[in-house]
Amino acid sequence: MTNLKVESSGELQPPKQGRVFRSKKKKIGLDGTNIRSAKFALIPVFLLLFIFLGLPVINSIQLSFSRWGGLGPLEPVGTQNYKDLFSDEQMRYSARITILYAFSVAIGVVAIATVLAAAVSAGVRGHKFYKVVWFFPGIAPPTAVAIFWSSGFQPETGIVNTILGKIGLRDDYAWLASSDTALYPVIFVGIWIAVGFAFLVILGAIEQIPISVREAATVDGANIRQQFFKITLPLIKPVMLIMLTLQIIWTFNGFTVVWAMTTGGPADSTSILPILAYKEAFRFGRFGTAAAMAVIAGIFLMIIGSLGIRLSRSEQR
Amino acid sequence: MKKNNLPLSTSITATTAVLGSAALLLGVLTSAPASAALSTAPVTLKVQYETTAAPEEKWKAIASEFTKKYPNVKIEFSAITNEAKGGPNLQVLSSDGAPDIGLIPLNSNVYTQLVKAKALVPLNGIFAADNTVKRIGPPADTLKQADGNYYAAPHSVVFYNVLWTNPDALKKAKVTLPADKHLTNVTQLIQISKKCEKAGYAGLAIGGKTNFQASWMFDAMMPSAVSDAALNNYINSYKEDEKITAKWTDIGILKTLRALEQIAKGGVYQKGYLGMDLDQATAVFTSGKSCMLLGGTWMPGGAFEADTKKGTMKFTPGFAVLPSVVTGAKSTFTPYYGDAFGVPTKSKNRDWALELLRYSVSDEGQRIGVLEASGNFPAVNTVPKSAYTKIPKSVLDVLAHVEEYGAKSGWTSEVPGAYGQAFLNPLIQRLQEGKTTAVQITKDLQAELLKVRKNGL
Repeated sequence: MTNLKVESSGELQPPKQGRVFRSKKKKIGLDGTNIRSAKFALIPVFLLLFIFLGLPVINSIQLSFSRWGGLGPLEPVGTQNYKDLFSDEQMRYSARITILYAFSVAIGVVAIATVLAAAVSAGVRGHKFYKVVWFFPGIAPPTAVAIFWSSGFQPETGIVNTILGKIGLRDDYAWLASSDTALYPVIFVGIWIAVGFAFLVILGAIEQIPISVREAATVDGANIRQQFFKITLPLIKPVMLIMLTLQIIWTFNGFTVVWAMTTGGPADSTSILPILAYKEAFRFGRFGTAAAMAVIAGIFLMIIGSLGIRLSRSEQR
Repeated sequence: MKKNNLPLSTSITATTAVLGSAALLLGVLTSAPASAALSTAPVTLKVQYETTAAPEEKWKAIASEFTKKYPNVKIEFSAITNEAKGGPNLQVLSSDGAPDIGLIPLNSNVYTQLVKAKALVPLNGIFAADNTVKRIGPPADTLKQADGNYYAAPHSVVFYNVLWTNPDALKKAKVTLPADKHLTNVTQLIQISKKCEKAGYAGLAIGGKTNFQASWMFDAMMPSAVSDAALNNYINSYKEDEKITAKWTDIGILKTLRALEQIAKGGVYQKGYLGMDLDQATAVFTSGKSCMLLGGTWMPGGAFEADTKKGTMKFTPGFAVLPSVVTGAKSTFTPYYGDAFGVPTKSKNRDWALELLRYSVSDEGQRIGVLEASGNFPAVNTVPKSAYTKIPKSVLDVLAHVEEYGAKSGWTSEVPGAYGQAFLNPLIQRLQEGKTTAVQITKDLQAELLKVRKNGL
């Protein structure tokens, strides 16, 4: 509520904002001396940022314009690495499947996590138990999870094929052995492993919604479905967007799950960009093209990140 | 000049004493380190080995003997994975924390780059001493680099492309293998696999997901389809100064690739082979679910022995040789000397590292470390056969077959991986899936050859 003062005229006047602001400014110590102190105090932060973030980025950019086999001096080659990459069919394919993988996993994670969080928040039977259990995949070591699931997708003996066989479908399909299907199990495991963390974050956002809002909706006759779509979803949208953005970035840069399940195969069909970059650098000794891939991927992710933050902010407003 | 007036008996005594002292001194010297630079101060050597049982046993056995000879030396080990040895290990070997003896696969980018950057200590002393070049034989020639130096020493030789067979499964499938173990042609291999499938077994188990097994069979079958001179040229033509006399688009290569395509289409491999690694494929075989396994001579003393002890392998394996793609010719097993050892220039105990490496290629080191501890064949030809006591019989049978029919070099084992295995393996996986053609691969290989010659590795 706005503070009102009674002036000598007897009329109610709003407070003089400017004066109050200036006194606050002084109170939090933003005078000349303190500004200098604050700037001085920030130097170590910027120094650390420069050493641990700035220098590697500068080094990567420099490397992306060079030829380097892993040892010895860099040999400048101008934009040749970028030209090679843009004309390389495998690079274009890898870029496409990386985007498909990252967006599929991110959308799947956020969608499933939202449904699970809404169910737990609504107090489904056993919700306390589910709150813990659904987070478990998120704390399991990714390599162990990937190895478990790569066995699970083996023909006949794998758990997935066994279940498919039980429900009357083919139980001998080698999901990971075909370049047409290998990406699907990888997307499934990507979602399975990441949903727990997103679930907790979104559950937190749902539980931030004041109970009075829901009570008012119930009084107004809104059913659970209407409450979810008209109240819960719009109010948690900023969190969902941030989660979606982060998940795209994390999955895009993910290496462990794909490597442990397929090592990028068969025939490079699941070689997402981080795996392709690894192979370029360590198997082919082309660190320059690997760095160029990293730079291109970095720019793409910066755009995705900026868009995500922007959308989230506009939703908050 | 002062005359020596010592009596004769005294002179003899003195001479005897001098000779005795000299003999004693020589005796001491022979048990002392070969290099005069070696100190007797305590030293700890760091040695890399791959994370499989045999190499670890090998180095532990060698270390045990070496440290008995030189009590001031302590040897520590660091394990690296199969994946790391051919890639990220480059950074380890060139760092300040480099081990004193590093594991360096000769067909990897690690070896190419280390040699290029002169980051390995020349081993010319080791190769010059003890007649090592002659004892290693022809593989020593390929180890010699363009600058005339040796940078890596082999420790053992293994043979790959061995078709391990399950005699019980073959019997049930009513398959009789040829007496000389050579499958006649691709059609015969396909027929055997079909009979096995009918009897409830997979045909040939392979780890199609690995970064090497798809191209192994190329190594076995290609030499039977081209002349020795052409094979030699395929192995060396990536070097700028070597004239190209054999093109990748030649008919022998095309026939080999078409044979690999035919084998894949013929349903020879186990279901889902492109999603399985070699360990998984081995488990299919040892558990009695396939008639054959594509493997090598390290398996009987490794996975087979372990699975037999566990009770999951209930048969004694036999073996066969992959078919040739040319009528009348025979394929052979493929020798691999490739996992060699070198001393990084960043080694902090260079002289002692060289001494240990020298010991590892001595007859005694090879007997203790390779024959007795790891069950592989020594890299040198001077260890007597009588020392082959711990090698499993099935492996000795393979050796006897090699002695009778010979063994030809595998292309992917001989050329740097960036041009060889890492390039060809995904192409053959694509061929197995029907996503490319044999003709296209020959063109890809020829284009890559020209690119490598132009840009280097």
